[in-house]
Amino acid sequence: MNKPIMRALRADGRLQEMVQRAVQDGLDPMLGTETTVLSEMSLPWGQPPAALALVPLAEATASGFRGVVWIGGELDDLASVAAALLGERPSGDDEALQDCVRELTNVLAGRIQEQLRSVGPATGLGLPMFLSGARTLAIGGASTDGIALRIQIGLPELPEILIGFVTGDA
Amino acid sequence: MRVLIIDDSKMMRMMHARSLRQSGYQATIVEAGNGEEALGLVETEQLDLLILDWNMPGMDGLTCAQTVREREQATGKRRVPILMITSQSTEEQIERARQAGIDRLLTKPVADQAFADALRTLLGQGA
Repeated sequence: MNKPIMRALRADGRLQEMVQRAVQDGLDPMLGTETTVLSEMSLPWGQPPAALALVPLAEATASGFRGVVWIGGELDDLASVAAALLGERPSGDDEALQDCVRELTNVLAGRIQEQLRSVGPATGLGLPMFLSGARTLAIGGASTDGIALRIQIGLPELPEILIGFVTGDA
Repeated sequence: MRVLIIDDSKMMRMMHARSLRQSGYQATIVEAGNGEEALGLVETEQLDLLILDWNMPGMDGLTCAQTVREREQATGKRRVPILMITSQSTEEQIERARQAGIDRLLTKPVADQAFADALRTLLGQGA
């Protein structure tokens, strides 16, 4: 069930629109700034970002839609983003930084979930998790389909982060 | 006024407390990181408002709210207003929250005005 939905959304450009809208509706107001999409990129699981947070998204039925929304990047860039929320810059990948990135990913996933509902699947959100230092990742099974975007946040340091939405095998 | 903020994210607890202050409410904030912890505080604290998240490790916000309502009914305690602030926002989810006894649901990110309006509605008074 996953792939036909993702392929249909990708084929007519709605997938990128969906993720960009989720950024505008979710991340921009939270960070109090605007974001710019720099490029679409291939899914980075062979060479994951230094740190990333993931939120699973799934239909209640066993055969239903499963996906993952994620935000990742270099620790320095993620710290710049977290500083906008915390009022002070976290150091390294400490708990405050992890908390911020998990929460931003949660908000992004909520906005994607809402749009996904309008094209079919009624999904629930799982708990966000944070990973750092992974050399490779297998998200949702060996085969994934989805989108990854490099975006720039309009904060003074102009941090660049990666965001994405992928589905695994159903 | 005593407000219990229930969220596993420390950052979100901090942001909700800041929004309360910005809305003009002088509140004593009590914090919990999940539903179980919150239920213990609901038993012992005299609270005027609960602000809670939906997705949390351990007991989630929906189960917590349902349990609070069941205990209120069983003991005849005063009904405490519950404001849920969550990323979940489909119509089905809003209905589930209403059935669990949530008085108002706001979707993250919450605009300052929406937060202030919700407080006014729930607390029945201006700041």
